Amino acid sequence: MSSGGRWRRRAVYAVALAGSVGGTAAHGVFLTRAIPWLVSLVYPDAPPDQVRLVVISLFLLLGAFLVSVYLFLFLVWLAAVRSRPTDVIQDGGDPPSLSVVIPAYNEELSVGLAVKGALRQDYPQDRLEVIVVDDGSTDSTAEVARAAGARVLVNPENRGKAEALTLGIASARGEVIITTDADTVLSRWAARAAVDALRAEDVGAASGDVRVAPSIRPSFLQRMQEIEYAASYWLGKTVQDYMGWVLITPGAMGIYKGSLLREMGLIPPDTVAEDFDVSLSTWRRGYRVVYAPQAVAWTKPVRSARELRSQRVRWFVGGLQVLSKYPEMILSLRRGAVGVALFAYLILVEYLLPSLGVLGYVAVPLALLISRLTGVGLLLGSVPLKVISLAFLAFLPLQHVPGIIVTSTVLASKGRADLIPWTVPYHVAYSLWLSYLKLESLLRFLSREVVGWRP
Amino acid sequence: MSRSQSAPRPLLLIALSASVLLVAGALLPGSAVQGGSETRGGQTPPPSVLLVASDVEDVRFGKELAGSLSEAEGREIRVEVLYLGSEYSGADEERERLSDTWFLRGFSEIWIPDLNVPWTEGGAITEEEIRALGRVVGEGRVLLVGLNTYSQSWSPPLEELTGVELTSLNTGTGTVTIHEVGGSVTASYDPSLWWANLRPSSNCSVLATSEADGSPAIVACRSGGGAVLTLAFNPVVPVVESKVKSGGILELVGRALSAAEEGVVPRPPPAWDRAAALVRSAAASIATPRGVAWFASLSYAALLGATLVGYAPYAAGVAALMPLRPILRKVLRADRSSGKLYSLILDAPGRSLPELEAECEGCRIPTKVRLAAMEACGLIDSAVVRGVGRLWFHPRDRELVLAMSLAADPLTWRVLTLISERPGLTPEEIAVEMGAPLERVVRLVRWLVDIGAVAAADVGGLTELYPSDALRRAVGGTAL
Repeated sequence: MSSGGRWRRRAVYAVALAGSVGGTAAHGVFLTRAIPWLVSLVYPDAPPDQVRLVVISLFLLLGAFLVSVYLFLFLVWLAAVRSRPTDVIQDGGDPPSLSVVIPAYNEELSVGLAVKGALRQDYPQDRLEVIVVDDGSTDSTAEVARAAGARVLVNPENRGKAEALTLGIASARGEVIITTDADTVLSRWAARAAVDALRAEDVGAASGDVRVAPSIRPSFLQRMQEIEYAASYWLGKTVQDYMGWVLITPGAMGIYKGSLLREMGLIPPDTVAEDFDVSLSTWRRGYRVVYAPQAVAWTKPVRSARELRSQRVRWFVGGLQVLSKYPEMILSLRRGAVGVALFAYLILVEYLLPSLGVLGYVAVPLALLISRLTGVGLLLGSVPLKVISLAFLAFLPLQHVPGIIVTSTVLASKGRADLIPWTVPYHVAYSLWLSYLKLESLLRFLSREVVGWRP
Repeated sequence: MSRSQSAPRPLLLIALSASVLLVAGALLPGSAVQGGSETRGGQTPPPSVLLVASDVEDVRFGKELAGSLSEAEGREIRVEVLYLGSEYSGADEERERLSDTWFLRGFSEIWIPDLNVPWTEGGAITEEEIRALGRVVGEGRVLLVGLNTYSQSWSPPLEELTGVELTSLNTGTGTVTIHEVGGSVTASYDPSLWWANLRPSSNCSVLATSEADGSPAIVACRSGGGAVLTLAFNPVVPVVESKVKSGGILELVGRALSAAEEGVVPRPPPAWDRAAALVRSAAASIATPRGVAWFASLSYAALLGATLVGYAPYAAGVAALMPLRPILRKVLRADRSSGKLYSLILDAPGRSLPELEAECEGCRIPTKVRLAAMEACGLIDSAVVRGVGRLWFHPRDRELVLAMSLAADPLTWRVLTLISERPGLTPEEIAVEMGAPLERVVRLVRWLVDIGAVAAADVGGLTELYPSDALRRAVGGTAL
């Protein structure tokens, strides 16, 4: 990066940081005005100063970090979107050979479509191969994949995703390798976009743009996942790419230089987040990981809360396993932004603060209740419990206003304004549930509980 | 074609709903906003007094004082009792009303002559209650505070509200004579019932003093637009107990109240407070069976009104006109313009509103209203066509119009062709086949399902798509 570009980015970070702090303070002021007013509509004689004190305590304990993170991401996102030179995929020279590796276990219903999607690419067919690794399926996954046009490798028994990927990669001939899932369909332009993302010498891997496949009658859970993926990719990954530290290449759409994967030899089987593991290995080898927003892949949403919980706990625990596997990378000055991001973004923002937030949601009302009942803690002793409860209830949705605005803006920018009404339950309820799952994962990880692939 | 004429007007609807809600709330019986001492129809209501009592003696005192005042001034005084005595089972509910400003606003005077903590457990006046009292007194009401009320509930906020400082409490023997300042009324008082030495602030006036040492006996202090009367003596016991009965107390207090009333300047409550009360009142009033009926009727009337002037969304207008079908049929039969519209639609199905308006010359009532009335009666039908807007047609022509609208869009035609050729395809398969973005395909298929052209079946987590019977009939012998 040129020194001019570097300084421009530093200026963006400074503005984003200042804007985030200022915006958080402004939102805090808004809450301390709005909530006492709302409370006074129901309880006209509620002491406004005391209600304000309740709001300030809640905001500092629960809401401030969320708001500041969202605002920071949003401001950098604005700069990133403006600075993106073009959305047109470069089309220069002979395209490299490309392999799409799809590990599959009992996926007869969806693997056919995944293979068709991978084959029907806007890409020279003689330079494209699709490999399905049947990981000991007991159904007709291999037959369906073969019929759809894939080269099929069969593991006689189920050995797990990492080993299936290792087998597929070892057999792949492509200069570029895409790893995807059997319940994921690549968009027609995904291959070109993937190849385009790896053009630079120092780029070893890229994250595709994974979206939840929309459906005719989407369920609540599906809508939540659609927003979650949108926030994660369209906002999170865009910002990470701009800042130069894309940390995870997703399992549903990981793009790698073939030479890099072959150099690694095998996909590490000792964690349940092999995609994160491979990404960090890429960084460790001195390559960059970037985000390819046009390499779109649609993945099937998880349909039940139980499955979703199991999947998320696996992801979160897997993430912690990988972090504990490479402790030297965390805050490593030699790794530059990646080392800082691993700590500040992954450990603090993704794990610790949400987990503490969940504890806060339980602890704050409990503390107020105990204080009220026992008379201990005279700070809010004179505020009626009903007033505190109402303030707390009003605080829950209002603290998320900046997050809702940010998410809605990002969704609208990508033509998904239809999801905007759902950002409210997403922020108020779903993200809180995810935070709870992060806390649960943290506890499971600390207690060294084994987390596997099956729910 | 303009779609705005048939599009909903969200702001108008919100404004309309809010108005209906507030009007319903304000009009409904039991509305809190109807309470209060505001004048209605230009007439000043009789003064109403809230007597805050903690024992039956307080009640007797209040009644006698009201009787004495009525007699002296020749006007009716209504007294409502808020009974806080601990022996009363409803005391807790009553107590809550002492901090409810909208309840307190229903009275022009509030008397708390002897709120007694140790004997009746009436409880001291809390900060919340003082704030509420201060707010309503400031809006132009008179508050009477007796000795025990003041001394047993003493707190800095109460001192600030009354405007007098309590310097000491004395008891004694014999009789104290109390003189009206600038008047001739006197009363005798037994000092064994205690006496408070009060120091008035600058915005207060002393209305009566002790003859012996000239200390203030009744102090009136301005508080915003209202006044607070503080008594240095216990007014209740001398009036209600014969053994310590003293003369002149009722008359003295009555004259002090009249004097305090003279300087009262009513002030309206703050706008936000009124708005909040209106909303609360509306919500409380509507949350009853009668309220629901009122609200539904008013909403219907508002919707009907909006439909008739052409401001309601078309579909809502049709629904609003449905119950009036028997009348509408007669009206439509007699209306030549409606007949002309009907003929136009029969002749050329699938016409838009601007087209119909252009051809319906001399139509006085908005064409949209006529169309809604005709659709409500089942004479015509309409559908919103993608990219075109709402089209009107005879019910028998529905499938023809559907086919016309489907054929207008090449992408739609391709999707329908795929579904017809290979029933059971999923949206993902269509996207892969066509190389189109999945989101776009799903949006399109969702619309096709909504208009009944395609049937969707959920099979093991996959959405399979089939051509509907309506589509088959609509396209008939075409290539599809």
